[in-house]
Amino acid sequence: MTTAQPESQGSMLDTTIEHQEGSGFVRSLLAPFRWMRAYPTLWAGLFLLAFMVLFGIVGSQFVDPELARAGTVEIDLSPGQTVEYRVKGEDRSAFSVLGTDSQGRDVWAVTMLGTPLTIYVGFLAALIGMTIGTVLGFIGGFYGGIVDNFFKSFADMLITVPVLMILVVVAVTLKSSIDVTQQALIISAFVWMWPLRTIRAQVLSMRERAYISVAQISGANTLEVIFLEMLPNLLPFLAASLATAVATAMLTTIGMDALGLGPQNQPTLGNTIYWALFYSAPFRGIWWWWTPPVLALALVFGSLYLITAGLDPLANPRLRRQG
Amino acid sequence: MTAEYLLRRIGVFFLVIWGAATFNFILPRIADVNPIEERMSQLASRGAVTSGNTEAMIKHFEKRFGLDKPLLEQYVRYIWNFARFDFGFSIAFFPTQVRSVISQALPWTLVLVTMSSLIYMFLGMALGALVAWPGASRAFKLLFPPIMALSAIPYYLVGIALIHFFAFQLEWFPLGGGYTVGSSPGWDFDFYLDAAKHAILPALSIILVSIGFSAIGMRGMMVTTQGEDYMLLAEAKGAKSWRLFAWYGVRNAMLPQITSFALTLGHVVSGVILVEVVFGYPGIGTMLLQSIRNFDYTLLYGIVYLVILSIALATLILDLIYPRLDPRITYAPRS
Amino acid sequence: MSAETHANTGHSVALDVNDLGVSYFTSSGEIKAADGVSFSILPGKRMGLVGESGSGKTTTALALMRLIKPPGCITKGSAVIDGIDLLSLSEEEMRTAKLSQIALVPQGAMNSLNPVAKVKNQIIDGLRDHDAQHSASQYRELVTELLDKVGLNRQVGDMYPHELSGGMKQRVTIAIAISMGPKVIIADEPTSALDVVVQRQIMETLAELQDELGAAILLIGHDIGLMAQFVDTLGVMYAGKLVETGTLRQLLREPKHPYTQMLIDSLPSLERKDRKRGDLRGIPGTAPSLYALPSGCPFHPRCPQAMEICPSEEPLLKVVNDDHAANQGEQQAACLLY
Repeated sequence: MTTAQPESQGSMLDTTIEHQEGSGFVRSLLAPFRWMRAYPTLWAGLFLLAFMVLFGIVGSQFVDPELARAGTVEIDLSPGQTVEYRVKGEDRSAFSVLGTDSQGRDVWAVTMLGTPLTIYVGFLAALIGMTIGTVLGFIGGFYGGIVDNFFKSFADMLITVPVLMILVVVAVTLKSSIDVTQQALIISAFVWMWPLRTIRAQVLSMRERAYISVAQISGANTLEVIFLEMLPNLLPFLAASLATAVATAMLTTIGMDALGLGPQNQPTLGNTIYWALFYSAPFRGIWWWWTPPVLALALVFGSLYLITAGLDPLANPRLRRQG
Repeated sequence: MTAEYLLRRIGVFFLVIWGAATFNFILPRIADVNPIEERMSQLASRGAVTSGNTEAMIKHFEKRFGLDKPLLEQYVRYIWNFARFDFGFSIAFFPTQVRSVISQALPWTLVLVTMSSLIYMFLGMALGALVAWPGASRAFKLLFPPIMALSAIPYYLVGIALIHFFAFQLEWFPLGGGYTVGSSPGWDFDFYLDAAKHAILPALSIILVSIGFSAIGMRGMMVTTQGEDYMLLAEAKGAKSWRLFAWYGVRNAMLPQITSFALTLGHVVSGVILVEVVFGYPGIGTMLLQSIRNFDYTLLYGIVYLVILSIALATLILDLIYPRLDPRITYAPRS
Repeated sequence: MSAETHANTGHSVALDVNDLGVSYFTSSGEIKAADGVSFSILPGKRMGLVGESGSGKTTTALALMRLIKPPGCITKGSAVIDGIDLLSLSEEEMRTAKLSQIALVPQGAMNSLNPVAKVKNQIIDGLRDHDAQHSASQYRELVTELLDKVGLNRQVGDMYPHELSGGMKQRVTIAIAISMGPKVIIADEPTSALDVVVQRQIMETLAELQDELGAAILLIGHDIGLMAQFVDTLGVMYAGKLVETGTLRQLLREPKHPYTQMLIDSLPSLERKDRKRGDLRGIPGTAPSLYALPSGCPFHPRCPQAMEICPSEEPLLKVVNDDHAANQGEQQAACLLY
């Protein structure tokens, strides 16, 4: 019976939520916190993501950035040794937990600095893309017409196109070195399509529901309807879309990095993988070079996956019982 | 869903490839990049300028792009060339045609993508269907979580790990490449066997990751079909369990999987390109990486155009055969 | 009502349901969707089972077909056809009993056919799984014959469900149901999604075929008006329990249970001649949640004739009018008034 507990709570909460749809902004804002206790998957995902972000941000404070620069330390050193290096004529030494790569960087330092960078690119690109997609989705779902038709068709078309190919052309042609923020901006132009589809479909179906009509008849203007009635109910969808968008954006950024088109001279996880491949690390058995970035990425992608999966029953209540 | 839809769908296909070609045309002009100059400076920086080649190259490119001609004429010429798959000479492999460089690499990628996709779609749908089926063994349910965990990770990262364990440590498989260096690609059995051995790990990294993706979609649909009225009636008919599973469950649940496969094909191919880079597989991906490193713009544009075209074509074909699978969809006007 | 009763009355029984119970086991406890349901139908007769949604009538129908899914399960009782208790058959035995002994005409014919299979294959595949080994041409003949019986053109066999109208689809499900000449046909609101004219035609087809087969029909529904035109006997369900059974005439003329009385009163029918115009009433209150059934008689909170004892004692079905003289069979009600 104890195992059945979370599910029963979830379903009871869900029925209350359905009955109270649109009954209050504050309640809706608080709702996610009540859901968390009932949804261990979502919880685990959020916890893991927070851990990875904190791990990188806090960890990087304790790392000498010099160690992440090529040519600083002895190359191809296996994990667990002490490295000596010179910075501006000053002798320093550090314990190399994860060893060094073939270009004289400390792998631990690179991973520490790279993890938050890569997450940053993913989140920034996803947030911008989400905003574009959500706004277009609302406009399309609400007003329809030519504009809606155009963006919907454009999104449908762009979804089937391999985004990485377009980005390769852009990056190679522009050729000027980009930093992580610029990379995020470029990627954001290609992550708005799924949010647009999701939100548009939801707005369309919601517009037909009784309480929206009631709100409109009782004189609420469109913005009030959107922000007070629709947006709170869309929170699970928005959150799930965001998690998916972050994963997509991160997939794209490390894809660009792995082709050597990432931000130069910045130790993003993708760049680390690019150099590990460049120096054939997997074929030479230098596992300590590629394992940390791959593991870090796996954990971040895993956390995003857990978040999406955990939000799924909230976004699609019909599926809940079938888990 | 009528002939009008069919026309529109084909229209979209041409719109996509026209867009891809136009994009390739416009971008270098906006960015004001001259491929030849880039190439020159790159060769110069390596101290490897061979004067005979460069003169021919410059002549060819000026003639080909007609850079003195008006922009519109350049554009029309460009599109016309792309429509005929004439991408000119590769800058890095001058005087080899881009078309022939690509045609060496394309079969490798096509086989890898097709085989892996077929296998992962089949295994994923089978797993998803069995997990959702009450009568199936619990073993499938146990198999599900690890498969799902893998599905969150990009193919090529799994590929790196596979190389380390199965090629480097256990030495079960060759270390990358598409065939043993020194053996010449031919039509004999030994070569195919050798190529297959090289293809297993790249294919496996695609399959392992994608199974989960197709399994979860299938599981959801399979659960839905079990709640359908037709499933209830089929059970009330006393149909055998395998018939319920295959003809009422799977047969209906697989339909959305095909649509979603078409939608994710772009993602799959992007992933395969990176898998090839990781394994040094002699396909389009490795060629793309080379063209990036060599600033081989003509080859790069050719590859990108062809990849976009292939995916658009595959999506179109899937759309056209879909009515064969779902009688509710028909492109012909109702009689 | 046991088999002996019928032995006494000298009739053979097509379907004898005794003390049927179906429960859903959820984390909030056991929910009795059907509890102690007993009735029987004579061969060639039609019985109607009415009640509000959630009263357990569909649950009863599905239980007889052994189609209750977890977390639900059949907890007790028997359902005997030809001396065989369906509820104690093995899965495989039950599978073969379907279609040959008992068949279902489903609710919601709109989606009852597999959208990706031709009609003929959907008629055949039930037969194929019942050891009936026929050649392809025999199957083709059989399909034509069955379609003809339900008033459909043979071309329908080569069509897909989306090409058929709602009424045609329901006819196909009837063709499936009669394909092996079952002794009992369960029709679960077979016309609920159809318009009134088609409803009537479908019911007539069903009745004709039943006469031909000599099968018994259990007709589930909430529309007593429609039912009154077709059934011989009627059962009324409330909150998972059968609260009254009897012949159609008995129940319409002299309903005993207060719930049945109110149900009949709410009919805009011509049957009750003593009623004044405009004397149309609904039943106050709402059907109780099965999660929290009232104690004693579950109807007492809504019952205008409730007594002090009603909340504490659970009424059982008992004979209230044994009209042997008219050879009408007995009328039973579960109410403490009697």
